[in-house]
Amino acid sequence: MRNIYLNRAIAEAVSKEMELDDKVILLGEDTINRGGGMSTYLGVPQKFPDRCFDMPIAEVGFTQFALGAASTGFRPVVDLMFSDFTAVCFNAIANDAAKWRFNSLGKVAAPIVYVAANGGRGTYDGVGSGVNHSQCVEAWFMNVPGLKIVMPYYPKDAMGLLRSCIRDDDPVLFLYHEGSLGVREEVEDEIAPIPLTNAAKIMREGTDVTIVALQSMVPVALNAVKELEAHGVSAELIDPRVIIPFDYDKVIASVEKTGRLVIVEEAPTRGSFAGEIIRVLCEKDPAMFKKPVKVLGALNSPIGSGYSEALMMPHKEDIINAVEELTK
Amino acid sequence: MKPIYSNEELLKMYRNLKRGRIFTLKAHECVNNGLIRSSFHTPYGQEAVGVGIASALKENDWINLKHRLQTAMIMKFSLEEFLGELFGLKSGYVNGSGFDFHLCDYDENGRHVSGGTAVLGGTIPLNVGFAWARKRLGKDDVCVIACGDGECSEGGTFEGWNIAALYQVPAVFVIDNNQWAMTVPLERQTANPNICEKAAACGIPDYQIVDGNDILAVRKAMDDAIELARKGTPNIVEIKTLRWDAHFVGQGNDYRHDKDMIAESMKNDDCVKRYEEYLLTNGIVDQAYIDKVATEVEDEIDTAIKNALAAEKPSREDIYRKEYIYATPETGGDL
Repeated sequence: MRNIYLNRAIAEAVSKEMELDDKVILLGEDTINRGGGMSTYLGVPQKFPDRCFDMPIAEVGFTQFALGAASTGFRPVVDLMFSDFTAVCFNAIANDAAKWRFNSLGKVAAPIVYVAANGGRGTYDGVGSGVNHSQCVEAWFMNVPGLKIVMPYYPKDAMGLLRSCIRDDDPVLFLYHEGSLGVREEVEDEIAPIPLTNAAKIMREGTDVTIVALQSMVPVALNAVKELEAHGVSAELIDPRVIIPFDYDKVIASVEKTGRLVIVEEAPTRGSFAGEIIRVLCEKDPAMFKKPVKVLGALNSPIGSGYSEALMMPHKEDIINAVEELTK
Repeated sequence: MKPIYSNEELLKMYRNLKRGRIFTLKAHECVNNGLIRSSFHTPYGQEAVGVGIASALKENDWINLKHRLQTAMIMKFSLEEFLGELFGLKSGYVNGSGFDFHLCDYDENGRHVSGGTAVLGGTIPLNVGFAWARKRLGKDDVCVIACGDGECSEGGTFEGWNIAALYQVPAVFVIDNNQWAMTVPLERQTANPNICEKAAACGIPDYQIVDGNDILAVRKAMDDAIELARKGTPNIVEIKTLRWDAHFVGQGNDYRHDKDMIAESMKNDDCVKRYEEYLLTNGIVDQAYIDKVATEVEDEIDTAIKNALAAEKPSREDIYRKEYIYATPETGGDL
């Protein structure tokens, strides 16, 4: 066992898959000198110097470049630094890579992993990077058929899931959380790939209420759950880890047991992940809910820099209040 | 001067050019009579561009799909497959789901058509990555990466040229410069009328500018360009021509201030007539041969249209299947 940071988990996942498959390549900005813009690939360019590529600051150019290379058998890992930057190359991801298989009626694959830091540091009362560096972009992409979206929080999950993403024949948006770059976790020496299917993880079992917390909200909710337990409320906490394909089975089973659902996300709630999960559950059987659903997310506002970021995020107290309202 | 091309080669190009012209006119009719229900970006007047490029490709070379290169595409895809796409029928290359924008064939033994993107700006960097990858695989292929003058104003195009120069990819960039981007004439798109100079500024200094209505000039320029690219130097060919019709059939041409230029081009600069005159003057063919080819390709296209009309419309199942959207359908969620 050893303790590793999230960036080490990402580097190891890429390195391990590069060892196993010589078609895996890594490209993006700052690749060689800094192990990627967020130093998530430290050591990888030294180990695989002929398969790691520096690209100019040209997200449109190099995301399209990756799709061209993927069309003839390569498996590019494309680093985009901050998930906000996917807006620059949204066309390459959403209009092209996601449609590549469909355009050829299943003949051509686009096995690309786009890696980016999602969200901000405000969740931890850290100093945030503001409107263009702290957004949660998953909902931008959820409406695009052809893409998969993976959103781990903890290092071990990141390593196992990223390994599966690299092996996957579809384009995958791998959004790790910016704030979790400082998170350490004790892990085994070798971490096997974690399948993208049925990926939700029950972090805490409970009977009174189901809390689905996305990414940075997992540790926040975990603290809330502990406090609720002290107040005699038994909450079940689920970390989805992957949002497309989403593990509905575990969430439905949990809500059927508890009858109450709180979804916590860092993104603004309008048009968000939470709404989609609730849609599917309501279509299946609205009778599973004994109480109205609660959704907690950021304000429907652009994100301010510095200390202002924390002012718009859901906090432990918000989760406790929401749960208490449902269980009183 | 010793002729560069054999008579057989010259006649092959002629048949493809005539076939391209008649296809263009018939497709126009098909829009008018409701058989083509989407935007057909007619290559009318610039048929020699597509044929000149496609004729220069060696068997292992690649060309990207681009709208208004239909005369090249019908050399790569059968008329049945291509018309099936234009008509949206099951006989199309992808069951009628791709129109003429979204076709590709990456199979090693296939047509060697790399993908294009219907949103301008993506095609160049996309195919730069593809060309890089072919070189990386140790292949001796050259990728012809074509776009129009309009796409050369997109940032993505510059990003693609820049990366192509950095990585010295085996590519020939072709600018099909027909002087119009939708309804905007060249002088209102760019202050520099020689677009290839912009690629030169990105580090691709080897360029040729050719008369796109002279099919032999296009062919020769492409031959040289492909040879240079095969040696490892990305380079560019700007093919200057004139779009005779609107951006797409049915749009109307009222905005054109250059109607006298179109009339002049139709009269004295028609790529088909010019090539016919060349073949006649040099005694390579006689008028009877020209008439015969015209009848043959017209029959071929009429038959293809007739057959296409008899084809079925696709069912939902022909196009919408989980395995056409995700590699692992069980993980892709419901349709």
